[in-house]
Amino acid sequence: MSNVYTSNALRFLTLLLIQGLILQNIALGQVNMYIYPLFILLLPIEMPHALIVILGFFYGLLIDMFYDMDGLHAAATTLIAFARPAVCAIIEPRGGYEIGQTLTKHSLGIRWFINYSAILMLIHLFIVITLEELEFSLMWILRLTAGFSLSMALIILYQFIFNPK
Amino acid sequence: MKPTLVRVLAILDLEVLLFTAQQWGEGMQRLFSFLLKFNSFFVFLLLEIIALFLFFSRNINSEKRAFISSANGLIGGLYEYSNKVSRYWNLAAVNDSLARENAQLKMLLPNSKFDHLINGGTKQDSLYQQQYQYTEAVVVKNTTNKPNNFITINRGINHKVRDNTGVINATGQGIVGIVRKVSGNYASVMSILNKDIRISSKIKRNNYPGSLYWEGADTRYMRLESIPKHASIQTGDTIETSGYSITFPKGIMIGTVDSFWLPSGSNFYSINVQLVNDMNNVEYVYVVDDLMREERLTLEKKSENE
Repeated sequence: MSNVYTSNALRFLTLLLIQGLILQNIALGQVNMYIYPLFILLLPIEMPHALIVILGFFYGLLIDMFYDMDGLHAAATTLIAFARPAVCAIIEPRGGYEIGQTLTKHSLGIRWFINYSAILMLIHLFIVITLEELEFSLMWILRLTAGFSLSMALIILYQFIFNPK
Repeated sequence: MKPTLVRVLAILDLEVLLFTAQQWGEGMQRLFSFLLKFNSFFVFLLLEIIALFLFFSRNINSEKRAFISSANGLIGGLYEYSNKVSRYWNLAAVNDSLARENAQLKMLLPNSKFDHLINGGTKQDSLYQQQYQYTEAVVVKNTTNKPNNFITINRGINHKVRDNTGVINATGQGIVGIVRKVSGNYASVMSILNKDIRISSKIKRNNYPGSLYWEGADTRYMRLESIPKHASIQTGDTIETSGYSITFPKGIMIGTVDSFWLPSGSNFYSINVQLVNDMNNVEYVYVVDDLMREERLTLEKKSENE
């Protein structure tokens, strides 16, 4: 059981530093990429829903401190934390989920994981970019599509490198 | 136990709820799982409203809000540490520009000027009172890749830095931004590459004032507006700060006119201004504080109210 705590705490710290110190400075024009929502995506399935939402809010707020955008990432992360169980229900595998199962490529397969993370990352990027631009322009489309593909590539790459159990 | 009491407990605190669930065993647990599910929507609603409120009120300045920014001690310290590593990459460029500025300053020294005065007598300096105070600072974080960019500098309240003061480039010319949030040792600066920024500026040649803002795409250009169509403009005209606002002193060069056009049906020019400084490469800056700003603001407020 303690293994779940340490692995999540480690992921919390690693993703925060990657996002805040590295990914913030790497961008193609104004296309930003995000990996930090992966922390919310990989939280244990049996965790109380309200607790995930609270964690999502504070994790987003931490990212906001790095980005100097009060509430922007908090709004997006709170929403994906809230939407997580609904997305899990929509793409539920044939046998259903088991208690103690983790929401990773390793336990549910790469196709399931891509569906799962793509839906939630799209929601996240939609909120972040719409709030930043406040209009549906060409820039909005460009930043959403390019940012989405780059973020997904990063998240899948993370699954292959670390392969969380 | 009455169900109403359980519901009150649920609303009051999640911890209490989980604790009681363990006490009463299986039968109650189903009720609690239902309540937790029910509760999570309100938790979500509350936090989402807080987040959106924070986002849309981000430009309202207050000391309390400084901690949700990179001006807070932890993040600021982290940035300073990571900057120490990356600073070596552009040492050469910084060195060159420092040497250039040194040369310019040396030309201003009294001993580099010819004295035409035969009998100057004594010079009274008491006529001049210090109005602007300059504080040097190092940029510990700078981004240019977002619509709303912010810079963090390593000076704060302890170095007498206040909010709404201007930040100018120390190595060479140009302006950098406006201080928004200040903590003990750090300050968060709204970069001129931020869609929320407005800078009062003017054309140097004929003193026509306008408002400068960033379009949000190219880091080399800003847009100048409110110059009437009867004003004469040429490409290459110098744009400088107007001194009409309290943030920047008068006459700091911002850039030059790159192109201009008259939008159809408009009485005002749209002017593309090429910035004199490269915002991707800002290392040393000065915070400029107007020591007389309180006096000026109270006076202006007084005459507005009458």
